[in-house]
Amino acid sequence: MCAGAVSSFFVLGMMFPPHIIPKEAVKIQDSSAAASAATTSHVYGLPMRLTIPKIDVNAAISYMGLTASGNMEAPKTNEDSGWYKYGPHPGNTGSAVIAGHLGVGSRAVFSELGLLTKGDTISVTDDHGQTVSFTVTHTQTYAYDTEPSEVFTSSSGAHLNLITCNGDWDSTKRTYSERLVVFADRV
Amino acid sequence: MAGDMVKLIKTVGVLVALTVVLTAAPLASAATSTGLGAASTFVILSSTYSNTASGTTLNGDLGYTTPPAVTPTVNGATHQADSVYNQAGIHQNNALIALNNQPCSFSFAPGPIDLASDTTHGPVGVYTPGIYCISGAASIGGGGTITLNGTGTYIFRMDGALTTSAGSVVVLAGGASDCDVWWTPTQSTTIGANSTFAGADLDASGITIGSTVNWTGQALAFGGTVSTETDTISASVCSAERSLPPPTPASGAVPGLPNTAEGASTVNLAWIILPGAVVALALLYIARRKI
Repeated sequence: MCAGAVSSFFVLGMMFPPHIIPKEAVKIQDSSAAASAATTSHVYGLPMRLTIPKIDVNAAISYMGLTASGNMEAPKTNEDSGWYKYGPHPGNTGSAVIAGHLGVGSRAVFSELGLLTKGDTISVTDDHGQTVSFTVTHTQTYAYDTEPSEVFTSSSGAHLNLITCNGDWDSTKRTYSERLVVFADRV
Repeated sequence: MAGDMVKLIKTVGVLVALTVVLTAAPLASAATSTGLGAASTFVILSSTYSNTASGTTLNGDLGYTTPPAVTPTVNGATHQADSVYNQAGIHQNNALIALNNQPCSFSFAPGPIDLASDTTHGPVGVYTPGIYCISGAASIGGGGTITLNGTGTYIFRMDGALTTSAGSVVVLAGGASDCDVWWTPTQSTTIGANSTFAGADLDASGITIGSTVNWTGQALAFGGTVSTETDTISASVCSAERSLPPPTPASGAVPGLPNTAEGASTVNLAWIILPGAVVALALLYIARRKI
């Protein structure tokens, strides 16, 4: 009996390593964070977690710099999203940018980013437990080798722009031909 | 019955070990190196290496395709056009690209600059960590001294030649390390006789080192010629591999879009298949006990 219980815990532990914790466990953290957000100031800290209910995204956020060629770095894993660390914190004035992989033959965090439409909600929880929400305003595609200033900069307001791949796969360049950007404004 | 239990424990143990091995493999392969890579151990890397007199000592690896007339004292490995040499050349070029992508933190007025006498960047002869860009040749003139003061990265990027005068000195102070000093001329380098120099000079146009120079760093001229004459050159002793600072955006610069095609997957099939096998075995064991 005891051995059976130990085996069960062992098996469950093996089946749910830390990076794929069942959603229910994560949602408990989110609800407490949302409660604290209502009672704290709206200067947002470092982003920690990205949630997009419509496409079932609940992902950790890593911090991205630049590649040697001057592009924003992409997250190392398919599961993480990546915030451009030289831009504003999500929720603060300016355009915060978070990128995620589309996946090549496998599911990744932004595999379904293209399903987002105007009015959909995106939330980011920071390192103080504050949660800030954004509403999608529009989407736009760009050639993969462009440097669109409107994605990374803005003259007013607090924005969150999500980036993933789009278009045709180029096996030589190991990338897709376009980038899809989802533009959202702070609620 | 006890025998069955032992078998089950053994089987589970094997499966656990397999799981660990299979899931750890992607993590291990994800490690990457930055900086000079294979070139980091070389004190001289050149196509043709010229040394015509005895008395030169190299504390580090030496690489060339054409050997010198007089073999120097080499306290390291010598690579003549082998695979290590070629890989070092590739890494030298990669490092130069990465260095050139660093935004300037100070740009001198156009034209040649004497680093020892310039006053536009700050106190004469003193440099704090930064990326100094010169749109012309650079020199350390008049047997002068420059002091690199403070912990951090120093990059001297010049669109022209680098020339240090006889008797000139590069001083490291305030925590500055030759491991963090880079010189990237687009034309040839000439280090004056009886001078003291520091840092890695990446210059495929060629590096001529005058007599009795004391240099702590690296003369990297893969594809070019390096000449020495009764010099002492010692590879930097760094706590870690000589590494480049991460690129940072210039003020107001907009980055290019990221390559968000595909990253490494942390979800490994082993997490699903092998635990499933454990469950199946456990159920089988329970079923046999009931029978």
